[in-house]
Amino acid sequence: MKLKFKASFAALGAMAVILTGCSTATPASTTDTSDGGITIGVSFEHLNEIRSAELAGIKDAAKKNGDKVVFVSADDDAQKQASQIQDLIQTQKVDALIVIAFNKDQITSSIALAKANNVPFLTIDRATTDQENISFQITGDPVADGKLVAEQMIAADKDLKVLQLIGGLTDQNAVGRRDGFVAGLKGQTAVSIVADVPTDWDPTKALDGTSNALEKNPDINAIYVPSDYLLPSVLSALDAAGKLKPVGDPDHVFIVTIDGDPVGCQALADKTIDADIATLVGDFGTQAVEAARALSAGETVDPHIVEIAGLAINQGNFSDEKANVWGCADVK
Amino acid sequence: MSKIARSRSIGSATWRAVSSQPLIPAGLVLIALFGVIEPNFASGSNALNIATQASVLLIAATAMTFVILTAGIDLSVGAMIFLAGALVTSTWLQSLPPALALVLVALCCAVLGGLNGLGVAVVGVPAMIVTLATLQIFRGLGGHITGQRSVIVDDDLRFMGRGDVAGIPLPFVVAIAVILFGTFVLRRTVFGRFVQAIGSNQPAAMNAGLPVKRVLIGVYAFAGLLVGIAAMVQVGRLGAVQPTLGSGFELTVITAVVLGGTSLTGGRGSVIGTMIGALILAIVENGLVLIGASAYIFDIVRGAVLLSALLLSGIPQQLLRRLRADSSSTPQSART
Amino acid sequence: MTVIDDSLIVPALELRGISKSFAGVPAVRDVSFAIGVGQVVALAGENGAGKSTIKNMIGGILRPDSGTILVRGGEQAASVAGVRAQHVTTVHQEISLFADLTVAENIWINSLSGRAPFGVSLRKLAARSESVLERVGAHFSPLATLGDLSTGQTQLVEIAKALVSNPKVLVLDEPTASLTMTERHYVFNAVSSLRDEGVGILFISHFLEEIFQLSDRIVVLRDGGLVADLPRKELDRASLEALMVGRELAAGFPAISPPTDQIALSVSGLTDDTITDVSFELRRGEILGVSGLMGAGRTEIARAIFGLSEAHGDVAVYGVPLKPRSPQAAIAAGVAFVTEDRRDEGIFLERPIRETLSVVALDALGKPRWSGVIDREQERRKAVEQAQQMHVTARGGLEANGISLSGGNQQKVVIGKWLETAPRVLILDEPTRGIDIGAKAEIYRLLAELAREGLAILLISSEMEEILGMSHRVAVMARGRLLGILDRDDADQKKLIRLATGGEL
Repeated sequence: MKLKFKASFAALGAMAVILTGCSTATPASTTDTSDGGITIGVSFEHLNEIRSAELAGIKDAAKKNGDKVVFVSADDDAQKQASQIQDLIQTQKVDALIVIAFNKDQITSSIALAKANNVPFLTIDRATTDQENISFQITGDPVADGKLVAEQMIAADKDLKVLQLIGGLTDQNAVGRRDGFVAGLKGQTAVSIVADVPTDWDPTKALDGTSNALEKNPDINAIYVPSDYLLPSVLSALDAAGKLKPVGDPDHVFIVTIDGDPVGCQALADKTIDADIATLVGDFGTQAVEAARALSAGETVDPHIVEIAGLAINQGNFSDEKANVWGCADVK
Repeated sequence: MSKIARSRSIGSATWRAVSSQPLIPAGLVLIALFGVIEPNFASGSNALNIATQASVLLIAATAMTFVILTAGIDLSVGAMIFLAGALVTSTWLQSLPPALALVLVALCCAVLGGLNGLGVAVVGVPAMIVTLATLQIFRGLGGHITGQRSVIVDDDLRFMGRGDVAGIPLPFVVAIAVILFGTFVLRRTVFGRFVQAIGSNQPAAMNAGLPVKRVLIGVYAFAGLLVGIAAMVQVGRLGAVQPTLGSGFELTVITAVVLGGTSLTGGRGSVIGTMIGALILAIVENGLVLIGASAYIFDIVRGAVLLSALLLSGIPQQLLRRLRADSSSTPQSART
Repeated sequence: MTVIDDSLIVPALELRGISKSFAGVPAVRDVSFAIGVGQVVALAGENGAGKSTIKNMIGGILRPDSGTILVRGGEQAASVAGVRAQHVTTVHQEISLFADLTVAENIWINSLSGRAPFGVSLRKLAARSESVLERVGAHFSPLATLGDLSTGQTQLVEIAKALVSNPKVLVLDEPTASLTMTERHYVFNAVSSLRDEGVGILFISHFLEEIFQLSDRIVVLRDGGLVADLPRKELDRASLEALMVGRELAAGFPAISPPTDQIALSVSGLTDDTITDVSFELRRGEILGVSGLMGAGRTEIARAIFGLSEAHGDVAVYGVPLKPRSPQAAIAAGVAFVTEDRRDEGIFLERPIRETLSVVALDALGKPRWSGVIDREQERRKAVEQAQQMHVTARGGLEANGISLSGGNQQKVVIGKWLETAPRVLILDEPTRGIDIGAKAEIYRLLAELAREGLAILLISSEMEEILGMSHRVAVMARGRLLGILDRDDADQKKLIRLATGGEL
């Protein structure tokens, strides 16, 4: 038993090492550029596909101007993010910060630190609780995205009975996307919501909820999916109900999603869904870097809170617009 | 001189397990209520719908029943489902025949479960701490494999979540097989008896010379195996592996087990009870959508179900004991 | 002390034809007795005779199914609070105090609720507690936190709390169970002075000496019914025991047959943290008593032999060395161990009795044997046989949970589970602790019978009478060492105590 004991610890330890190895393998990386530009510190809460696209947007914009980018990832740890930002400000002496906060409340102390050191603090993609002391913020516009979804459905020019999936009821983004959609449907009768399914962004709840709604309302012929994240679940539910038909089939269920990630782009390319409202994450980077230059030169940026609506891509404009959508880069 | 009367026949043991479920009346009331509000609810196709949706929970909750019976807990269930899903999508298994790949993943889960068991039984760390740690490890590993992306699962690896046997959805067939097997193991085998003995009184089990450590490791490994199977079904149904897969699922699983009358202090409970608990949770979720309840009502009802599960785990046991004693009230032996 | 005639004044408390059943099983049947003003009535009976049920009905916790309870001639109130308001106070055996509050707060807790929310002055409470603490002989500060006190001291607080409620009827349930001799003395004095003040006292105790010392009358219960209600002077110890048990106790202990010469268990040089170099031999058919004071290392010998602790030294069963030592190896060699704490270490309280009986021998019940699938018919049959052989009284049958058994029957089940393995060496640690006289006698008879059939028995006990009555030889332990083994004929209580306390023979 003693031996087993050691073995078990060794195994657990090995796992831990593998994990920490993975998570710490993202040290500060520097993009070399010519002199003359500013240095921008970039702190993300973690690095995944979409964050990579956002980082690429920042780097591309910085490159054009000859600015330097120092990037750190906090691995979903608010404490780590705070100390990384402190390091960027005090040791690396960056001229501006572009941040995606892991915790929108706890980041307040980092915002204060930046202000005390006269370093412009910019956030992208996610709003922080402290809206007063940040220098610039650019995020998507969930309400506008929801309205765009409504436009896409109305443009179908059919009587649509819509199943609406809702993300999390405590999530501003999810609520905004719902409210925008509901508002966008006002004043017309062709498109109507016949069922709501709350999902808490849980794929399983999306799958089961969609199945249940299809059971109750067999005449549902459109689904509003508030994120590509939930799209596979919705497609599986349709498949299980025998209702997964390509665009153009008379029994096709009209589907509009938001995000424009690779899953959504592929579904568009495969003619499985009708439209996707792509978040322009590349633009976040471009606009943030412009604002950073202006702020570090002492200028003011007005307005300092910016929301940009997504880009609607659908079966009609897909081949033209796919180059502008980060998730569509690898679409076959 | 006293006599020991033969108390009950074997068949009545099953009846006792069923009749000791305070939930059956509650479940019937729910079904009637939903059925009246929404006629579609009581349809055959909706019954199959509920059965399919409950299947993953049924399998995982059967696993959790064994763990909780030993007075343990396994918080890593949801993370293990994610990790198993990640393994299914990993490139290492792409070259293998799909069935073999799934078997390998299930065995891998059994080994990971066994690690939980080693921590609990040999190192002696409380199960909650061990599995909280492995929860993070499993989630981290899964995230590493998938790169925190939504990964679409190949169709030929999805067979556990689709298809049917004579019109019964395959996930539910798998769930029923697991429940029958779990009941058999628990009620009819030496291993099952040891599980209950250890949960009921661990020092007594030690003193009786039972292989306590081996049984504990076995329980967590068995639970891991079943969770692996649950993951196959889940991934097959979803068609994609996503970073939040299984997140928070352990709470639903524990709720189902506790609703089903298994005591969190171990030693007392049944797989059949767990099955009823899980089905009630699935009926509630399904019924709420069908009657068109507002999204906010969902959270209220989920909370109320969890609360009643916790209340049930305490109070009615005494009540039940009394009821059961009532049905066998005649003293069966004369005192000296 | 004045003897007051019940008929002249209204009794402090009167029970008339009280009955109470639980789930159809009668616990108390048609019991009537009265407690006069200024009278101490002792309630005697074995475990399960119905004493607690009566106590709880008097306290208002339970309602009788039929019959009436009169408090000073009036109807008893219908709630616990109402009964308390009638100045009927119960001191429960299960202590009902708050470990994080001070002694003073605990004493006055019931009168705190009526006060202004911010009006509690700890200092005032403490001052008011001094006299009552003195009265029960407590030598600790009223400002002490209850959790820091010993069990005996908390018992005194419980009694002090009862005194401040100004009781007219006081029920004391085993008030002295965890007290030292001095503390007992104070409690007795407090009881006596309450009696002189006219309080009617019901005194429940297992200690027969205390019953004879304190009470004016003795009420004896058996199986829920009243079997005697007599003035103390008309009873002696033997007649009281006979009334409680319901039959004449077999005169002392059963005869034990002489052992064989064959060595069943040999222990040499057994040493661990507590015990040092313990060596002895136990023969087939022999009962070897192990005596000694608390902490002398008696239990540790048993645990070391059974492989529950890490110890050096050699143990052999019928010449075969037990190595390495583990419970599994010991069981395989034919050793069985009945631990001193049957509730926490021996029986599965929340599982059917059948499962406790079969758990040790479960591997042998496989059908087919290797499959690990239990042959339930065989299991049931064996459990019934064993329970019958052990004279287990299980009112709910063997499918009832272990918790439904009385202490004596739990012990029989624990011994019975080991007999399923057909052991050759049986180690018993305090096998009769806390069980009543009738069950004790049955266990003694059983041990004698097992020894006659050839079982070698190691009997660890604190009860010297039991050791002397039941053993062929007696081993005496002190401070971890085995000081000597006396033959039964040579041994008496004085010698055992002298050896156990380090004296020479």
